[in-house]
Amino acid sequence: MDCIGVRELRLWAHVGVLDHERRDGQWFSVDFSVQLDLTAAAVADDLSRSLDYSVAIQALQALSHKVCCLTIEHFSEQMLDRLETLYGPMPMWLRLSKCAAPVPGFNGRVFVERSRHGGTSAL
Amino acid sequence: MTIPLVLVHGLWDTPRLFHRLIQGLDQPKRPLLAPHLPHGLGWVPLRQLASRLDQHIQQRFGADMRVDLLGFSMGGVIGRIWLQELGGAQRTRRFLSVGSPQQGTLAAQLLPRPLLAGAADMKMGSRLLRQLNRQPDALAGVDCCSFFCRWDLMVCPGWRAVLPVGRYEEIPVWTHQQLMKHPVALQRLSSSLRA
Repeated sequence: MDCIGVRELRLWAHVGVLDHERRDGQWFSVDFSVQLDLTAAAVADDLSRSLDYSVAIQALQALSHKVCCLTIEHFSEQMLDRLETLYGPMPMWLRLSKCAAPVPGFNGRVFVERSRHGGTSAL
Repeated sequence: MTIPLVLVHGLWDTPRLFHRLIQGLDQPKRPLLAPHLPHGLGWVPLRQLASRLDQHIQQRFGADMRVDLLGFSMGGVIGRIWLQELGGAQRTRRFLSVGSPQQGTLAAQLLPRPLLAGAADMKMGSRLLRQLNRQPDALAGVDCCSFFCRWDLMVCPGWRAVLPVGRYEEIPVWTHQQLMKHPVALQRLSSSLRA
């Protein structure tokens, strides 16, 4: 199925199990996609038949400013809520990564992948 | 490696103040320290807060690593104490003072020192500011820039919210808080921090 997606949206947010993660904040990175048929928008060159991804980016940026919670699972749930509020109950998927998890000796990324309404990874 | 950035918040604020600036900077690989400096309602003397700032910096970046420093409002004076009196100037590349009462503020003139020692440190002509101003060479070697809002009522008069050395720039916003919230201000500060 067609989809519209955004990769590597970087967000500074106060999320984490450790006190200093919630107090000081840290970087997260989000990839997300919403699946829909883009044929009509593509043929007519008409944005109104597609989705405006800029509003989703702004909504997630605004969310990252307000959120303060323990888990990236909960953070991702709130992201899906925002996307669903904007676009309705469409197949959607996201991957939320913590850019620098506070685990000694570990320099990789930790992430969760979530989907709703049958959404699948676009990556 | 990118030079780490230290952000120092001001009176009645927390590091969350810098959320928009950090987001706008968009430098996930740049080491960042925005410590919380609890200051009561303004009763903790600024030198004591500068000492806590020093502990945070030493703990995170060690004793020698070079840093850039930005202080907003009272945070700019705390940062200046760290630079001038705690050896920070020797390891700091750039210091941005944003809406900071480096020459004092009329808004603090009537505050009672016995109750609000920290806030009273920002009175015009306070002993702290006089001592800092007597060391004009203490910031030599640091690239200093002061940003101010002409209509600032917290740091009043706004155009005196500048360091005695370095460049200064007026940011065209209307209030003290807009210096850290308005898109024009954030753009200006981000550009300076990225340079």
